[in-house]
Amino acid sequence: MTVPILSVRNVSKYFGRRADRRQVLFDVSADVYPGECLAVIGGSGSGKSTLTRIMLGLETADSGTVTYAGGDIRRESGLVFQDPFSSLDPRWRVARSVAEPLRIQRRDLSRDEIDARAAEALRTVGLDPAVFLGRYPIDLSGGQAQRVAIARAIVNEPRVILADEPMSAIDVAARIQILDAFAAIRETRRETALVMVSHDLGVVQHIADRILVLHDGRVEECGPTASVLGDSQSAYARELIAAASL
Amino acid sequence: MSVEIRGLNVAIGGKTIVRDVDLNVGDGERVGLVGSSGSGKSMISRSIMGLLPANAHVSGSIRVGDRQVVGMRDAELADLRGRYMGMVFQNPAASLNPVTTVARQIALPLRLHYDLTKTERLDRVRAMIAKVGLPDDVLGKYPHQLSGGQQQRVGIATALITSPRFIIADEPTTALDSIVQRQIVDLLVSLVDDAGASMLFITHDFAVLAHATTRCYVLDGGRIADSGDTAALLDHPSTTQTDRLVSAARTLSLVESGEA
Repeated sequence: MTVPILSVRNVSKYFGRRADRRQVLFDVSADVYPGECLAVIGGSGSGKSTLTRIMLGLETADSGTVTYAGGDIRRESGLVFQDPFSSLDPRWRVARSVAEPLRIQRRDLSRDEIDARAAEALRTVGLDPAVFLGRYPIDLSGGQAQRVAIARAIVNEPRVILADEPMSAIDVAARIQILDAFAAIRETRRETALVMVSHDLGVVQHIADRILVLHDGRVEECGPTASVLGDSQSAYARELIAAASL
Repeated sequence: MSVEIRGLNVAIGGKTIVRDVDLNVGDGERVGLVGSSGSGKSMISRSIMGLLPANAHVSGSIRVGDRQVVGMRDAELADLRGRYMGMVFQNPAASLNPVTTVARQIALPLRLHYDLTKTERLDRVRAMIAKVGLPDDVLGKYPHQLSGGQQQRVGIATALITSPRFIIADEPTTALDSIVQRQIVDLLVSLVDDAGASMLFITHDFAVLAHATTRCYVLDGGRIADSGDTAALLDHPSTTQTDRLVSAARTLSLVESGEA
C-alpha cells in the first residue's frame, strides 16, 4: 500500500483533572491513506470526535504521535460539522461563506478566481451557483445548508476532509443528497482523503473503504467495509450493524 | 384513548402549515406520522396537545377520547394533558429542567395533577425508574450527569408517570446514537403496549417507524399524502412522497449480507 497521509500511533487522551480525570482514548492507532474514505464509527462517548480532533491538531494527545505527510494539516484540511446552521454565519450569503477559506489562505488569488472556485465547489456538491450563491442560510433546507458547508470544506482543495456526523442533523430523505455530494467529491478529487465520523453504519456503508470501530475509547475493530459489515468479530460492531438494519 | 382529527387546518401568521388533515389513532393503537422537516408534523402534535403558539389559527375538529380540544379553555386543556396525555420530546437535554433532580423532574406531573403524599409520589417515581431501565441512584442526579440515552429514559418516565392514555413521541430518537435509538424505541413500544395506551409516533425516518408503529400517515407540505399499514407502505410505496422517504430509509439501512 502507499504511504499514509495521516498516521496515528498509540494515542491516549485524558480529560479533566485530579478526581475528575478520565481517559477517553486508549492506545489508539490508525492510518489514513490518500484518496480513501475511512469511517470512524461508534456510539456517543466512544471517543470518535476526540480522535479526529487530535488527527487535525485541534487537540493534543497526552501520549502517542500523529504524523502528517504534508505541511500544516490545519491549512490542508477541510471540516464539515454536524449542524450546518450553526456552522454557517447566518448573516453571510452562501458566496461569502464558501469563499472564506480562499480569502484567508489564498491571498494570491484574484477576486474573480475566488468567485469561480466557489461556484465550482457548489456545482460539485450538486447546487446550482446561479441559484444558491446569493442566498442566506435561512433560505436553505438542512440538506442544502450542509452541502454549502461541504462546498466550503473543499473549496481550497484540501488533502484531508473531516466530516463529523455530517448527516445526523439532516432529514433521512436529504441524507441521500449529502451522500451524493461526498461521492462526487471522491470522483473528482481522487487524492483527497475523507474521514467520516458517524454512529450509523447504514450511512457509511455506501461511502467508506475502511471502517474503524471505536468503543469506549478503544479500537474495537478496523478493516475493509465489507468485512466489518459482513463478518465482524466484535460483539459491539454487530450491535451497531443490528441497529442500522431495517 | 382514541384521537380523531377531522379537517384540521393550522395557520400561523397568515401562512397555512397544516391543510385539511384527517387522522385517527384507535384505542391502544401505535400510529406513525412521517414526513420531511417542515412538513407540519410537529404542528399537528402541538394542535392535539393544545400547545400551539398564541398567534396560531386553528379550524377543524380534534377529539381526544370524547372531548373536543379545538377551542377548549386553557385550564381545561392543561387538566386533560396532565391526566390523560404524555409527551416525549426530541431533545431530552432541552426538555428536562437542568436545575432539577431526576426524582423531582419525574414527580412534577404528579405534584401538579394528583393529590398524593410525598411518600406515595416517591414510590411511584421509583417504580417508574425501574420500568424505564434506570438504576435507583439516578434519582438524586441532575440531567447533565446523565448520558443522552439516560436523559431520554427520564423524559419517557416523566411522560408516563401519570399513566397517560395517549402518548405523543415527537422524534424521540433523533438526537441519539443508533444503538441507543433502537433501545429507546423498543422501550417506548413495550411500555405503551403494557399500559394499553395509544401512541402517535412522529419521525422523518421510515426505518424507525417500522419498529414503532403498525399504521402510519405520510405528511407532505401540510397535507396527508398517503396512509396505511406501515409494513405495506414500506413494501409497496404508492405515492412519490412515500417512495422518497422509503427509498431513503432503505438506502441508509444495511441490507442483509448476501443481498449486498
